[in-house]
Amino acid sequence: MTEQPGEDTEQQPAFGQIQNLGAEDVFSALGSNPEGLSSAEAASRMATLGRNSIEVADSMWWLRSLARQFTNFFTILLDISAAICFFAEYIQPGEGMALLGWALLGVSILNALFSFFQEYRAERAMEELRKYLPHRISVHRDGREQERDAADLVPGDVIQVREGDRIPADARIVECRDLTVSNAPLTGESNPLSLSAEPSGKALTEARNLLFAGCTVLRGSGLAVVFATGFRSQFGRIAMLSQEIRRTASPLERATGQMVRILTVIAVAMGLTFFAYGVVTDKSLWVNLVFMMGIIVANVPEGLLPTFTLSLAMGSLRMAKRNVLVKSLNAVETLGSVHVICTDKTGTLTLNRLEVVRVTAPMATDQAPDAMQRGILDAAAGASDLTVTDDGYNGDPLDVAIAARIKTAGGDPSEVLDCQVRHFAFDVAKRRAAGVLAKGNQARLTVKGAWESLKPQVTAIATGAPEGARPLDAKAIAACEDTVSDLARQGYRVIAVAAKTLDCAPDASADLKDIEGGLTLLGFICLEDPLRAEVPDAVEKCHSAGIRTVMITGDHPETAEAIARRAGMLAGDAAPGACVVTGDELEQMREEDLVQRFESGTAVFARTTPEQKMKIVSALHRRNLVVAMTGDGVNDAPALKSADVGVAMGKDGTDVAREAAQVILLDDNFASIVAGIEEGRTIFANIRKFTNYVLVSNGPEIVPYLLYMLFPVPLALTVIQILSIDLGTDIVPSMALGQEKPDGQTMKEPPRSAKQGLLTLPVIAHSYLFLGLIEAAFSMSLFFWVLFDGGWTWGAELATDDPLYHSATGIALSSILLMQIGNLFGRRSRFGSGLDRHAFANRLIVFGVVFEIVFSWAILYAPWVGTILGTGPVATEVYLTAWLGVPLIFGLDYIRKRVAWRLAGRPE
Amino acid sequence: MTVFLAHDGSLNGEWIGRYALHYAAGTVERRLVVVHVEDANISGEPLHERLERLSGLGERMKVNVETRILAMQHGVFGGLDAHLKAEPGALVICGARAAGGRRGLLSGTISEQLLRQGSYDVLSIHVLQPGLLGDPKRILLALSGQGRAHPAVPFVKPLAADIERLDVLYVETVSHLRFANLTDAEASRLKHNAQSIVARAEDTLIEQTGLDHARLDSHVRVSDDWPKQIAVEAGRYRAGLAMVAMPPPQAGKLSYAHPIEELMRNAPSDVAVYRRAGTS
Repeated sequence: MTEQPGEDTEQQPAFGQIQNLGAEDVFSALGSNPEGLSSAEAASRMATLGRNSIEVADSMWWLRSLARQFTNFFTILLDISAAICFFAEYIQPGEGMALLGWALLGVSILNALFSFFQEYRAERAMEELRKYLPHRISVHRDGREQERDAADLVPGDVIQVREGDRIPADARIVECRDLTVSNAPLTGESNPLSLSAEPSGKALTEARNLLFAGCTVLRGSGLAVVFATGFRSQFGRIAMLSQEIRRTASPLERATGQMVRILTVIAVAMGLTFFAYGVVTDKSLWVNLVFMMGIIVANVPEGLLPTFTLSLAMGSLRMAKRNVLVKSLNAVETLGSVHVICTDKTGTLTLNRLEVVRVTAPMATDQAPDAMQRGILDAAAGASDLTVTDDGYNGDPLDVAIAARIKTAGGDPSEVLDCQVRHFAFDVAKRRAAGVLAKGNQARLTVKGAWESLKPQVTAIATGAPEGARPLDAKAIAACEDTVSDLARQGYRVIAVAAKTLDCAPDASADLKDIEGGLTLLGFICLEDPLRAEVPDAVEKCHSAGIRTVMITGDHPETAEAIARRAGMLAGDAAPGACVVTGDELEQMREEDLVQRFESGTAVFARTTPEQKMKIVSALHRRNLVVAMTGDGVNDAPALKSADVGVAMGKDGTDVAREAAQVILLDDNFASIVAGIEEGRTIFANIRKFTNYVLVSNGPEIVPYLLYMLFPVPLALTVIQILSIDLGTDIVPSMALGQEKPDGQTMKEPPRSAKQGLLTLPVIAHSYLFLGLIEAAFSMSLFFWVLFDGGWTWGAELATDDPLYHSATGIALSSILLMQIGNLFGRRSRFGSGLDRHAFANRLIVFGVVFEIVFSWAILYAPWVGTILGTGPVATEVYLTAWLGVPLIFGLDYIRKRVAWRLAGRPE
Repeated sequence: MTVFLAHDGSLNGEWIGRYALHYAAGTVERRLVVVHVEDANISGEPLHERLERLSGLGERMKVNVETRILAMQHGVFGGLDAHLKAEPGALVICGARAAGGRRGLLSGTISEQLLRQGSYDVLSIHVLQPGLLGDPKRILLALSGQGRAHPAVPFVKPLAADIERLDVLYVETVSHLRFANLTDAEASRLKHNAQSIVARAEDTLIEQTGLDHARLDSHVRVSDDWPKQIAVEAGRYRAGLAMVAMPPPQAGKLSYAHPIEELMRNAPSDVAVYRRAGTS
């Protein structure tokens, strides 16, 4: 349907914006004239206002972006760890520390580059946007029309546009002939728009006398004066926002940032404290440095950050299997944190397919009797333009839906179409289509379209009896109006169908307006874009998970509300219209008022523009809510960037939206977002599990250094041995915990609070002071057992190359690895044993356990491993005793869990 | 209050002249005094034509336009300054440099000198959207420093009747390192503190400009990049004009890399830099 100009035409004001002026004043306002600018004037303006392009002026942005990635805490911590390794290599060459240093540096660089490429993606969105702008354009310069580079345009230039042209800049029309454009890239509306050169009293974006950059001329031609170029055009503003809006740090980034800061502070503080202690107690500087470095290495979980990345990457693969393609790893978890999903209606909640759901008599809202239905549908098919293909009927979606309904009712639309001798195509201005059916000597005109457009031609209404009709009086009109409005309120698109008998088939040149008077209204066809079957359950799932769902659509409020009710997005007792905000209302609202409306239950935004999505996001951010926003159009890109998670449509979305989003729905289905949220929540829960798991081994790593500093005892673990745990044996079990499946509670709990970090006091206490101390105590007991058994006496010096020292440190390391098995199973469940969750269903857990067992043996009995790690064999009974660590840590932790479970009120 | 337009005779000056007409139309006097200091750049017929056109527009807008051609006094600024100092309560509207390049748009211009003078209210405008014809309808007012709105009042009040939406923005600027590691709690605290600043600014604007709550909204952002944030917000709120205060003289001279210059280069809207007489 083409929207016509004219209704916005008002008397020309004395002043205002460019759209308010008369065409004759446009030239002087922009310092131009009908012959166009001179080349000299254009060059001068070019120097003033720049080129008409959306190129990024800052050519060094990428360098700054890269520098930013290398200065975040994550990367700095990994760099410090690498530096420590290089330093260790310098002190004790030949122990492979340099290799580890390079590995850490590699991870740090990879992390930074990965983040950089995420940011670099914004530039790709710009590339997609640039495709909407033409390269060449006809412009009047120096008194003649010439073809020039579109980037050379300046305000004041007079451009000529013709059918099929893409518009290069915002321009005010001064002359036009039958000019129709599509402003879809700006408005998201696919309806063609008729333009004129008349002054308009409306706002810039609503005026019908303007051409906008990035849009397309569908029909006709026109002459226009450019008034905004490059980033200053409406399209340029979308491009600028798509480029410049920076997504706020994701909840996971904030949580890990906080964790890294805390661990860094602990590590550095402990290192410096004991360095000072060493200085005071007259230990040599060399010993002090080694000690400080060791305590820092012991405190920093070097393998945790790469494991994060791996876990998120594997999570994104699982999401892809559920039709959720994640472009940014952090979005994997952010999806799990969302408090609000702002979703489009068409295509996401609905199937984006028209379906006839009801056929009614003129003054009834119930389904008409079968015979009457058939009559109405046949008449509607008579006014259709359909072709038969191998796949069925091809044509306008409305016509296809009518044909499908006839077939469902056992009829054959071809019977009607075969009788069609004339078709009057849908007239966008008149909002109706018509056809003439002829059979023998009989001819019949059938018309279908909006009730408002048919009403003036209707003089009678069908009564249901064969050929029965009665005159259309005021009462009948009112009844029909009520019917239409009732049906519209239920969310249906209502099409009126009317017909009349003709004396004979009209000739080929006959105009519809000459023959359509005196129609009889047969009834109404109700169509809808059906709700996706999965949506109500998905919405219900959101509600039980404490997630608000909000529909944002350009549709009519009543249609939107009806769909929202069917989807379960509105409370059953919500009064009609109470939870709906229209675009006009939204425009007038302050953000704070919008927040209040949202808190009072608003769940539908109807007749909105994509620009208003940003306002909704800003309002929700005021309440610190994590927002997921869907979008498919070019103009959705800024909103997709503004939201915490931008979700683009994979099937029907534009490339611009896909590039601006972090998540792409491969099936455009709302239910897939919910599946993604479930995965995201599971991933965060798993990250907490393996963070807890990894931190436990920090205890037995730190304690040997404290003992070494405070007492005359040998160092039970060397730096390389610590790193072999953090960057070796802990990695696979951590990844295994990262692969745990969601449990039944995942979508029954509210979204986690933004304040709920990864490293909370209970986690620190549990990791360091409970399990960490148990591991430390047990491993140190075995260490001293071997030492005393080998003849070492308290306070005696022991050379680091002494076989006894190798055996003692070997059993300390080996026992830590074995106890980590008990820790691993314990981490699988908050209150349960962990063995009850299909212990061996997670293959990585099995692999991790086997790896730890084999490695715990190899460091004692495989000479080449011993050479690298500085370990040696112990008596078999000592090694077997080390195995007791597994049930010890598992059992004590299980007792703690049962106590915690009781204290928590025995939750499910 | 009398509105003065410091017109350099260029097309850019004409576009700024449209702002000046709107400002004049918003005053009780409805009077615009166009001052032009004669120099070698533009004179004669082209200048006369431009001034005539402005007078014609003034007539349609029911603004009395008076033109004064001044002589230089130790340069253009000297001529302007001597004249404007003699006019109590003058609101001077001038333009930023049209062609910037590496020199910057405001740095080293007559406008910068006027803004630094401090004896009269000065508004320097960089017009990027001539299609607005000096009637931006939607304005973004970026508060700076202490977040006081009082210095902005003379520059908002004359447009108040035509303003459809005034978005008041306070950008709490933090260092890049701090921003990258900002916790939720810290960000919330910064925003919470700034909310009271913008609330006070709103009250001032409502009280002194005649704007009402329905046309006014306020926003707080925490950012490590002040000019970029303002440019983004100008785009987000579809502002036709972004207004910022001139930094105090002690903040040093403007240069190409100065945030104000960066904003003027990158904003998707017209940008106005203001300084109220007697404020630092």
